[in-house]
Amino acid sequence: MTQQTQTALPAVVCRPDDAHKAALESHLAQRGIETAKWFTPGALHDLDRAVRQGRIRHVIFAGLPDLLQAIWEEEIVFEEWPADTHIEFLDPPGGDTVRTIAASWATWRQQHRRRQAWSGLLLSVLVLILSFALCVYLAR
Amino acid sequence: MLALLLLILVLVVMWFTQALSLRSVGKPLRLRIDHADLPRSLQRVNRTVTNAAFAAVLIAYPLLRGESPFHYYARFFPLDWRVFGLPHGVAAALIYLGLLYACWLFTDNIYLRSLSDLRRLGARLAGVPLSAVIGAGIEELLFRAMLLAGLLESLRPALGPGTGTAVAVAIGTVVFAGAHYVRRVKRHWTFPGHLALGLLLCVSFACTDALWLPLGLHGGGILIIMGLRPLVRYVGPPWLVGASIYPYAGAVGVVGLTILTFNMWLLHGGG
Repeated sequence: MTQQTQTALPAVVCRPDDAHKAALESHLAQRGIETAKWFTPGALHDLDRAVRQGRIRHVIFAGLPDLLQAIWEEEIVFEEWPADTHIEFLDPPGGDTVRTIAASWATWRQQHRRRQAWSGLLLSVLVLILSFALCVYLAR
Repeated sequence: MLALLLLILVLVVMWFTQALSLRSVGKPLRLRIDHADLPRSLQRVNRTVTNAAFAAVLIAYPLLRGESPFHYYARFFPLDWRVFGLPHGVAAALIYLGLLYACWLFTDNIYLRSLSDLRRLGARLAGVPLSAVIGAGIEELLFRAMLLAGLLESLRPALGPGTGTAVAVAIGTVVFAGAHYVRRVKRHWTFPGHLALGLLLCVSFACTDALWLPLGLHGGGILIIMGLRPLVRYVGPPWLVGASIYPYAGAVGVVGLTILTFNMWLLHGGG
């Protein structure tokens, strides 16, 4: 997370209805940034591509959890971002970064497990119907 | 009823062997059958006595009825169309469980373990077919050929073929499931899974009056569960995928066993 002057258009990651939106706009105004490219969390593949291609070199997140969520969801491949990409947080992580990362991971894992369970259940029902039909067909 | 009494006798033998073992190491007696805190050598003695008691009961039951054990058990292996129940049962178990495992793997509810020691894995997998034959064979002889056949024999004439069969199947199912919880177990929530499994095996036997089909279903199930045990890790919620060697104990497993029961009933008896 280097601090250096960026020439390319900065990117801001924020939901349209996010409580942080006004704060982010004011933060940009304070920094004299008139134009920025806005991305919503959950649709960060375009941002990821732009950063990896060097078209965006400065990304502003509302907080560390937003970046982590994008990493867990594999929407951004963070290890392939150029090392000189300037990452900024409106709400910078405090001293307990490890706890923030762990909490974000736990929340994501819980959501992920729930999705896996529901998809597993749905597919299981289909598989049981298929098994029943297959057994009846094979026994004919 | 004689079969039920003999099975209860096995419990008594198990309890007395445990009591003697506990006394020999100066520990207080207890009602629960639990060998965990006994020395390893005494655990082995208790296991051997239990197995011997089961074998003795299997032999004693036909003898007490005035039949030779060979002739009694041979009648449940008729060499007619019912022989095909064996491959049919194995195939049905493999289809149901195989497809369920595939969809759980696809949705990340089970993970494949990394295979570091292939020689050890090979040795474990090589023993699975024998475990399936022995495990399914002994349980089917005890709970179907002895207990359920005895119940059907006495309840069908007394209550009529329909009601008699239904009551015998219900008792056979409950005793089979309960027998898995006589000793201390890690989890009790698997009981509905054992009930559903018992119902499948009892219905399969009652429909065919032969051991081929329940043996095939039981053996096929053990084959796939034990065969995959060293390869997979259950990470999904227990209500979905069950746990450890009980994939049939989750809600999906119980529903699956119920559908499979209907499947077998439809094809071998009621359909």
